[in-house]
Amino acid sequence: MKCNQAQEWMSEKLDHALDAQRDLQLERHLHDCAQCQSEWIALSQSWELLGSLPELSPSPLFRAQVWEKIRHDQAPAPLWSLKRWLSGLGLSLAGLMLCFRLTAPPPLATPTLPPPTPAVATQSLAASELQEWDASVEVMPGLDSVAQDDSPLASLPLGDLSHDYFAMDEKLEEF
Amino acid sequence: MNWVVALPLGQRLPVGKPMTHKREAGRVEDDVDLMLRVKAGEAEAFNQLMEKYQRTVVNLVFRFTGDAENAEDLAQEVFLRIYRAAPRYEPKAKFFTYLYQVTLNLCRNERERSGRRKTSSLDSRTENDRQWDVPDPEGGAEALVQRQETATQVQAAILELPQEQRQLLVLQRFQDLGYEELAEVTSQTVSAVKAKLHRARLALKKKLEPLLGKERDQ
Repeated sequence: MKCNQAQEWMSEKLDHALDAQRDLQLERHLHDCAQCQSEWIALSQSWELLGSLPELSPSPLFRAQVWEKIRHDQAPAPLWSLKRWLSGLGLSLAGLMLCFRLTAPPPLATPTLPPPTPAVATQSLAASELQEWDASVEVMPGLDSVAQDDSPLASLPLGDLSHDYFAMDEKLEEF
Repeated sequence: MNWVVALPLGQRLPVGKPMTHKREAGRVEDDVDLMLRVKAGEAEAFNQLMEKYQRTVVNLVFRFTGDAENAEDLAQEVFLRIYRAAPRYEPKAKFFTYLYQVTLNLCRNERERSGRRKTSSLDSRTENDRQWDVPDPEGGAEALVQRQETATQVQAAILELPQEQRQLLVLQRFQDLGYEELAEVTSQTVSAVKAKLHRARLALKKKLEPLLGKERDQ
């Protein structure tokens, strides 16, 4: 029998788990091998020292204290607690934020810019006509004067704003 | 020829029961029956379980954590957790397996939380401290003091071991669990338990060599 095997069996011998045949083999080896014998003595002594540890005795109030912990564990939560208050506050704020988002007025529509004036139309205007048009822009009639204006120009329907402004001159000549 | 080992204080190795059948069948069924009654809401059944295992759990916690001052508090926490889980209890394993697993988990969590090992020297006891059951003091006060010092060193050596080795040693030495029961509690195979237990004993022997040398000299 080899020493490695003997040392493994020592542990089982301490546990009284060796069968009779193996136990006898181990004892014969211990008889013949001084090193394993020394190892066996040290192993069994340390095992015995471990068993010599003192024990604690539970206090007489042990069970009562356990029941007290159980009662405390099962007690209903207090009506007010900081944790509850904070969580409630958080929920309230979240609800307010949600309501605010739902009832907020729709955002203003962004004004669309008019389509760019085609370069051809601009270039076809005579320079004098442009000057005349520029001069007329400087004089902006007030709202009151516009309202009191009974001229044919003012009485023209405003529905169709897409007409040709220069064609209006011909209409005015008719009047 | 049987080898008789000359142990300290003239003691011999106790001839115990074989490792394979450590628990009686009736005892196991009683525990399961009690736990099922606890599940049904019977407080007296829980009292009986506590009466049966409170000392075991307190000492297990003490030996796992080395903290004598808080061992009872942690042991109470073990029973609190068992009571809390009673409505969901299913007798899939033996009750002591379940009890030891809860205890081991709690001790592991406690050690991770505390972050350091605490040892409580027997010399620092006061009248209000935990009551120790020291073995019979053969040889008078001097022998008692020597025993206390030895116990302190042995406890410190256990706490220096890796957690897994410590668990196996404590469960086997103090709870008298067989290989199958150890395997069940620690969720390992029997062969793994045997190998790890052997390594744990070698590690403990190495840590106790100074003490063993002193004992041999005496």
